[in-house]
Amino acid sequence: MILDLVDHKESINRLLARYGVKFGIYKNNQFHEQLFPFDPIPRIISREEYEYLDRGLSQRVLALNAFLKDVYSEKKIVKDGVIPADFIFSSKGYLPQCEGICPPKGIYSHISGIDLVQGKDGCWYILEDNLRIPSGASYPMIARDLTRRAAPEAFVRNHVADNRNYAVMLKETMDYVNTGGINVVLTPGRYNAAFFEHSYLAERSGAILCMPRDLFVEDNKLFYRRYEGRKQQVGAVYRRLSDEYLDPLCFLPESLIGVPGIMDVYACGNVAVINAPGNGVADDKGIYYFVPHMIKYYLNEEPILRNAPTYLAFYEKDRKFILEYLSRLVVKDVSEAGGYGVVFGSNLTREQLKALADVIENEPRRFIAQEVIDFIDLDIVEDGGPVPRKADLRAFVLAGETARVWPSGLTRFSRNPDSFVVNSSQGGGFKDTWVLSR
Amino acid sequence: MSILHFLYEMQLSFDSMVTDHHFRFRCLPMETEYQKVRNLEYTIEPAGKVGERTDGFGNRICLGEALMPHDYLKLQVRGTVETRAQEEKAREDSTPVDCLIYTLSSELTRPGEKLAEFYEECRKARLSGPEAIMHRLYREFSYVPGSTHVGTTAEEALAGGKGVCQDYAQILIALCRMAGYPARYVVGLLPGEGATHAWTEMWRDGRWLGLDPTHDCAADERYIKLSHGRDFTDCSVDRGCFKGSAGQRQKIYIKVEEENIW
Repeated sequence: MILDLVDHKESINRLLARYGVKFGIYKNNQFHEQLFPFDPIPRIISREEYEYLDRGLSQRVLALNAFLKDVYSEKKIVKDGVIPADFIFSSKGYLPQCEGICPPKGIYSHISGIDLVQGKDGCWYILEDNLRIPSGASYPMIARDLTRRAAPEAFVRNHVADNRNYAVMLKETMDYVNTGGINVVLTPGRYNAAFFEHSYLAERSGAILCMPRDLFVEDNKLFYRRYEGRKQQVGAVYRRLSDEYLDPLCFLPESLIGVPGIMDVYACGNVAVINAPGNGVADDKGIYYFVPHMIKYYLNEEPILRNAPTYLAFYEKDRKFILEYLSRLVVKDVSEAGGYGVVFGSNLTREQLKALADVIENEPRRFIAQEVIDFIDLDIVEDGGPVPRKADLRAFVLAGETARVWPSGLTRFSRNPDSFVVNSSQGGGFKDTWVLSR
Repeated sequence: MSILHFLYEMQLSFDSMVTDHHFRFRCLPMETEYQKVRNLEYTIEPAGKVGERTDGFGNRICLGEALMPHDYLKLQVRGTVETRAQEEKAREDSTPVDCLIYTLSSELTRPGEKLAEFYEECRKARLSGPEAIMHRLYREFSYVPGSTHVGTTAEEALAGGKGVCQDYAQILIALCRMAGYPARYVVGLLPGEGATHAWTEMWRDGRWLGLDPTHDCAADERYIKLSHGRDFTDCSVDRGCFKGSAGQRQKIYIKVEEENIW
């Protein structure tokens, strides 16, 4: 049945291109759009496995939300010595402007994109948490839509959980925190890497897609200016622009894509901002190391899902270990994202290893090192036949009254057979993710 | 104890009409251990409803907007503050977690070669504590208005050897942080007529201690405190944006009078 899908690889990719499923990349200050190649063979996750992931990921997101609430208020986790203060206050993602702000319903990370891989031992490992504006849900959504039309048989024979409910989950998430007014998706515009996603999610969830100039603040409330000039109050903003550009009166004064005053409206509880500004402190690669500790600390539970084995150069013992085994580890710069700042020790010459060791010794706070996980390959179709490629999974966890994992996810693969880096900004492709319904 | 009456006036004039003007003012005195606000009133025109809130550092902000076309914006704050001198006596020595953010260098206080060198000299001369460092800074740095601008870093100012109160304060902050003391930037007012003033607070012996490196003295009961933060950026007295391509002029008038209570 899946073979039906394989036959439709080209036509589905053509349709995706027509729908504008593209990824924008800035290279040398120039904007390039490139297609996000779709591979028709889905990743298949059994019901039991999904339920296990659902428990583990929900637990993780609840702990991360508790952490964010604590960081921006009492900081008990620091006072109790679980996380060194340095890791919080010197994180680029920590925003003192968010101190003391409690978002509507106390939720910080409404939409979390958690990246995992499955090791050859069958065990799942968390690679990183994305709690700012994780993108990617729209790709499996639209791909599912197209594949269902192209090969309906495949979906009759296999019991696949419908993933097109993401829009409903997203709407419920926005409605839950909405402070009174409409839901909007705020996009910086069509030159953003994920503009397709912004427009698609707005359309599907019934929110209004708006540009920064469509929103304005008056009397400490946020309004949407309708095309005919009337204004409508906004109760929830799913903003797809990063914190530093959100409000020129609070963050970067030179930002022209922000909404002046929106932070004060938010701070006074008059609008929900999804996700909350300041979340970067919790998805920092340095803080990642401490997530299992957070689960124990806030929830008093054992972590269900594992982190990849990680060493923190900040701790002397770990640093020694890193420097000794540098050639077999992967080193990550905690301040970088999108697959940048990731170095595999095994790819370096002796001189490069020495240089890297020096940098780590000089700036230990900047680096973590991880064991390279030998994660499973998934088959992709190339030149008519299947070939194995490295792939990860971005699971989407939506937090409202409870946290729920979307029964699907974005499976990204590396097109380069020798590469472990699957980020779309590095030229990877994607697959649909099927969660079996029984 | 001291009673201080103050007036803060700011007028922005535009040479043509502007619209969609949003503003944030941080110029209302804080309530602190050493400072009580007795009365306070302010007006902003032309503006609709003006709101107020406390930011992440504990500063009071008044916020609002003038959306309709206008060619000036005028702010007037008037009030009376009761102050008392800070205690000399040490308290229990602990550093609460909220102080830790003031131990890290910020954009405008990040040390470079000059600061490192200056700090090293202080260390060699066995200068004990921030006061001694302040005295040395006061001797070696010159007050020259116009020699720096608001974006000048502590490192750049020190390299130039001259600056204004902002530079004195930020250099002392950088040096205190290098010496391991949490230190923060303070904006406030002093008796007389003129502009806002800036000084430093450092955490020692369980409390914040105000030091004014521009005048080489401790901040006593003549100092009215408006706001504090990691450096100038966190304390900007006014921040705003508007639509329109108009030139603008800003006029500020400040007056503080000490009431003779004896």
